[in-house]
Amino acid sequence: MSGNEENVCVVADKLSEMCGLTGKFITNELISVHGFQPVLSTSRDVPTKFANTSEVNVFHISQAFALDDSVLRGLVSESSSIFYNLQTAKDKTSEFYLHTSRSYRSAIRATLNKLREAIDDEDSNSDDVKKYENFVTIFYSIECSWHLCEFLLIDSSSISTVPNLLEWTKFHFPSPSQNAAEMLINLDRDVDVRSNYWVTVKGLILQGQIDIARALLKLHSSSETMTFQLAEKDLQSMPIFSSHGGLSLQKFRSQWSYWSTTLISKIDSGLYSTEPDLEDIMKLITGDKATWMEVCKDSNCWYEHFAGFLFFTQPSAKYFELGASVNSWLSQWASSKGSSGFTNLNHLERMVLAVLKNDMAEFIHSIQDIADNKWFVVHLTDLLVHCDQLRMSNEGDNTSLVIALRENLIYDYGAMLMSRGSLWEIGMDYLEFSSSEGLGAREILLQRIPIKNDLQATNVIAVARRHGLAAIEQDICRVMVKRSMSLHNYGNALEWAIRSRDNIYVTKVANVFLFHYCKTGKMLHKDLLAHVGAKMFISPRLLFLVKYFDFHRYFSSRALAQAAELLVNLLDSKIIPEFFWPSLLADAIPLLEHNEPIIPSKETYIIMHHLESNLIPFIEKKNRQRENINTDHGDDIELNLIDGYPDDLVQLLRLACARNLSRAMIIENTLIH
Amino acid sequence: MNETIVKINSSFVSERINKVRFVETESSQEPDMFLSGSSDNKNNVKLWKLIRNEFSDEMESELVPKAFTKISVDGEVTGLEVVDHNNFVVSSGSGISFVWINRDIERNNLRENKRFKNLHKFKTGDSALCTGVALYDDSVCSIGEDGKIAVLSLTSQKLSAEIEKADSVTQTAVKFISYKELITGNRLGIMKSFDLRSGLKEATATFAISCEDEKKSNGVTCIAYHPTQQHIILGGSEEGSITVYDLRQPSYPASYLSAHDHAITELMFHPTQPDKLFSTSTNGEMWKWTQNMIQTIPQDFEAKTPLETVNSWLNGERAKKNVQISTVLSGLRKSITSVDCSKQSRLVCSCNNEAIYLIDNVY
Repeated sequence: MSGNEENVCVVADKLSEMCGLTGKFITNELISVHGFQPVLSTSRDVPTKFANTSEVNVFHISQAFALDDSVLRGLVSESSSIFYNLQTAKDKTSEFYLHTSRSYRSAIRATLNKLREAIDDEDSNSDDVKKYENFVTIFYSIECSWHLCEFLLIDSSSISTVPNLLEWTKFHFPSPSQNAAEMLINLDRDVDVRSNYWVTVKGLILQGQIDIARALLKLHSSSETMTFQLAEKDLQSMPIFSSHGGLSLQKFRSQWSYWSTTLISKIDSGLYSTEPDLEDIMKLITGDKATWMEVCKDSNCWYEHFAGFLFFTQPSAKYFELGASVNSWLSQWASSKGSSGFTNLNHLERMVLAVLKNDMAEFIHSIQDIADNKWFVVHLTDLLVHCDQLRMSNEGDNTSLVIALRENLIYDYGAMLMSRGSLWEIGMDYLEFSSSEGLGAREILLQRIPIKNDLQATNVIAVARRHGLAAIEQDICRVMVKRSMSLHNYGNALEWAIRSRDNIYVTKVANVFLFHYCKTGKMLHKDLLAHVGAKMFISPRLLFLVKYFDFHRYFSSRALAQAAELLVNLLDSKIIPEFFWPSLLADAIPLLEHNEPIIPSKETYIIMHHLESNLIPFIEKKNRQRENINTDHGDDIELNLIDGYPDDLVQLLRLACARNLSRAMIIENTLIH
Repeated sequence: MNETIVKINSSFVSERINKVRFVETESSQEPDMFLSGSSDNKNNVKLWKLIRNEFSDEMESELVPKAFTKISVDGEVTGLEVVDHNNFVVSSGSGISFVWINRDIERNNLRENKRFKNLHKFKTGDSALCTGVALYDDSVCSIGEDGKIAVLSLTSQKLSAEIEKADSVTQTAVKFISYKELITGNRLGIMKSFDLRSGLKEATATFAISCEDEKKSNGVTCIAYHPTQQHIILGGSEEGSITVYDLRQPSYPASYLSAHDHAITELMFHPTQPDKLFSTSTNGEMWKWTQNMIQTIPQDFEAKTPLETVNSWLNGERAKKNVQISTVLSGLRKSITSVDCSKQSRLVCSCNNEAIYLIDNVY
C-alpha cells in the first residue's frame, strides 16, 4: 500500500520474452498487454524476425479487486446506504454531517472487528490470514485519518483543536491509559517497582492526561516525600486552556508564562533533582527541547507526541495555524530519530501530515494510492464536498474543480462496482449521484449485467423499473426471447416477446407457432394462447395467431357457426401471413362441405375471392421460385403440409365453394310461406 | 415486558439473500435459528443463530444473527422450506436438495442427504432453473423454467410423480393446499391447480390474476393460502397487487387489492394468527395486513347458522376496507426478497441491500 513501491506483475509469454511488451489501458482498472517490438520511423516495414515463431497472446491485467471479499463486502453494502442517505437527506445540518461521518467510521470499525475475528478463525499460516492482516492495516489507517478529518474538517462546531488532537492520539495510542487503568484498579501500593510505571506516567503526561498522572503519582511509595508533594502542588495549579472556559487567551497566556517560569526556576534550583523521572516530566511540561528530543527517540511515529507538545506549548492553536508547528516539530522529531525525516515516513504518517498541514490536494492524492479500490477516497471526498470543506488550492475559486473530482471518483467507483458480479445493484446507487455521464453509464452497464436465467432477468428488470429505465426492460426481454428461442422454449419466448412489446420479436415467435401448425397440424402451447388476452393487440401477427387459435377452439367444440364467422372475418382481416393462405383456406373446406349449410352465399363469395386473389398468386409465385432457385430458398414454404398438392387444394376448394354456394343460394332464395 | 416496542435489528451479511426461513424450536419459545439461501455468484445455504450482542451497551442486549455453518449449492437458491427442526429442503440451480441439520454441538453442520440434480431441463437438454419448492407432509414439489412439476417423496427420497407439460411458460410460485392439491403460478399471470392423485396430467382449474391494465404483462410472483381456511388463495403479482380466489367459486376472483407500487416478492400469513399477513415488495417495503373479522348479523333470528363470519379477504370491493395496513419496513430502496414469521412474534426478512432484518414484537 505504500505509494512509491512498484507493483511487479510478471507476464509469462514466450513471444514477449523475446521481443518485449506493450500495453494499453482499457478502463482505468484494466490493462491489455501483448508482445511487441518497438517500431520507429526509421525501421523498415517488414515482418520482424519473431513473426510466426510462437503464438501471439493478449493478456488483460487488472488490479486485484478486494471489495467482494466476504468481510469487506459488508462494508461496501453498509457504506452504500450511508452514502445514499447523505445524498438524499433534506435537512443537511452540520450535526447531520458529523453523524454521517461517524456512521462511516463505525462501519469501518465493525469491519476491523470482523477482520480480526476472521483472522482468529483461520489457520494462522493460510493465505487468508495474510490477506486479512493486510486489510486490517489498510482499514486501520483509513479509520485513523478519517477520524482526524472528522474533528478537523467535518465537525464545524468544534473550535478546540488541541484537545481533540489529544483525544485522537489517546485513542490510537491507548497503552498509557490502559496501563494506568490497570494500576488504578488494582490500587497497588508499590506500583513504582513495576518496570512500566514511569513509562506510563510519562505517557499520560505526553497525552495531556494530567489528572490521571497525578492519581498514579499518589500511588508511588514515596509519594509522601517533599518532591512528590511539590510535584502534586505544581501539577494541580497548572493552568489549563479551554476554549469554552472563562479565561481569555491573553489572560491564559500570562498565567501560563508565570506558572511555567516559576516551574523552570524550581527545576533550575534543583528542587526536583532527587527524582530524575519527576524532573523529566516537569521539563516536558515546560517544553524543554532536549527532554522532548529524548522522548521522541522512543516514539513509533512522528505524530505520537505531537498533540502533547502542542498541549504544553500552543494549547490555543487553531487548525489553520498548525502548518508551521507541524514543520518545526517534524524537523525536530526527524533529527532526534537521526534520519532525514520526511523520506522515511510511511503512508499513514504522510496522510496524517497532509491533513495536519491542511494540504488537501496532497491528502486526496495519497489516499488514492490505498489498495482499497478507492473506497476511502470516494466516500471521504463526497462527504467533504457536501459539507464544503474540501479546498484543493488556496488560490481562487476551486468549487468546480472539487465538484468534478467528486463526480469522477463516484463515477469510477460506481462503474467498477457495476462491472463486478453481484455488486452491480450497489453500483447503480453511486452512478445515480455522479454526473449526467453516470446516469448514461448506468443504462449502458445495466444492459451488460450477465443474465443466465429467468430469476436474474426478473431481478434486473425490477431494478430497471424502479429507476424508470423502460428501455432497459425491453432490451432484457429481447435477450430473453433469443435465449428461449435457442432453448426451443417457445412458450417462454412468446411470453418474453409480448413483454418486449417489440413487433418484430413478437412476429418472429408467432411465426414459429404458425409454422409448427403448418408442419404438424398441431398448435403449440394452447394454455398460453388461451390467456394472451388483450395483450394480443401488440402485434398483428400475434392477433392473427390468437384469433386463429380461437377458431380452432370453436371448431373443435363444434361451435361451427362461430368458427365460420371468425374464419371469414380472418380472411378479410388483411393480417394473414402469406405462407398461411393454404392452411387457412383448407380450414374452410370442412365448413363448406358440412352436412348442414353453415356459410351463406355472401361469405362464400369472400372465400372464392381470396382463393383467386391470394392463394392462386401465392402458388404461382412459389412455382416460379422453385423453377428459379432449386434448393436454398424454400425453408418456410416447404413446411406446408398441403404444399405438396397445391393443385388438389385449389381444385377441392373450388368444388366445395361451388357446392356450398348452390346450397346457400337455394336456401336464401326460397320464400317460406 | 413491553410488548409494544417494535425492535428492528439489521445485520449486513455480505451477500444477496433470496430466501429466509426460521427453524422452529420444539418448545414454544421464539426460534433462535434461521436459514438463508443466497442468490449470488457462488451460492450457499447458511444456518444462523441468534446470539446476544456483545457490543451492545443496553441492559437488555439485542439479538444479532451469527452464521454458524453453511452448505454450498449449485446456482441461486430459489426456495427454502423447513420440514421440521432437523430437516429442510432447498431448491437451487436445476434441482432440489434434502438437507439435515446436524445439531451435534461439536460439529453443528449441515449435511446434504439427497440431491436431485437436473430435475428441470429444456427440450434441448440444457438445464433449466428450478424456480420454487413447496412442501406438504412427505411430499416435496418442485417447479421450473421448463414448466414441469416434479413431486418427490421425503421418506423414500425418490421421484414420485411428474407432470411434464404443466405449463408453457416459467412457473414462478407453488404451494400445496392439501396432500393432493397443488397450486402453481406462472409468468403470464395464471394460477393453475393440479390434482396429484387423479393421475391427471393437466390442470384441474386455471385462474387468472387481475391486472390494472389488461395490456400489461402481470406475472404471478407468489402464492399464499389462508392458514385455517385453505380455500382462500392469495396471488401476489408483478404490478404489486393481490388477487384473492375462493376455490369454492373459482370462476372469478373474490377480491382484487392494489397494494405495493412494485412487484410483491412474498406473501406470508402468520402461522398461528391467521388474521395477519405480511407482504414484501421489490421497492423495499414490508407491510402488515391485519384483518377485521366481520360478523354478519343475520336478519332472521331463526337462521340455521346464528352467527356467520365472513372472511374479509373474500369481500370483493370492500375487502380493503376491512383490512388494516401498516408499514413495517420502508425506504430500503432495494428488493426485500423474502420474509418469514415465527409462531410467536418474530420476523426475519432479507433484502437485496445485503442485509438481514430481525424484527421483534411486531404484532
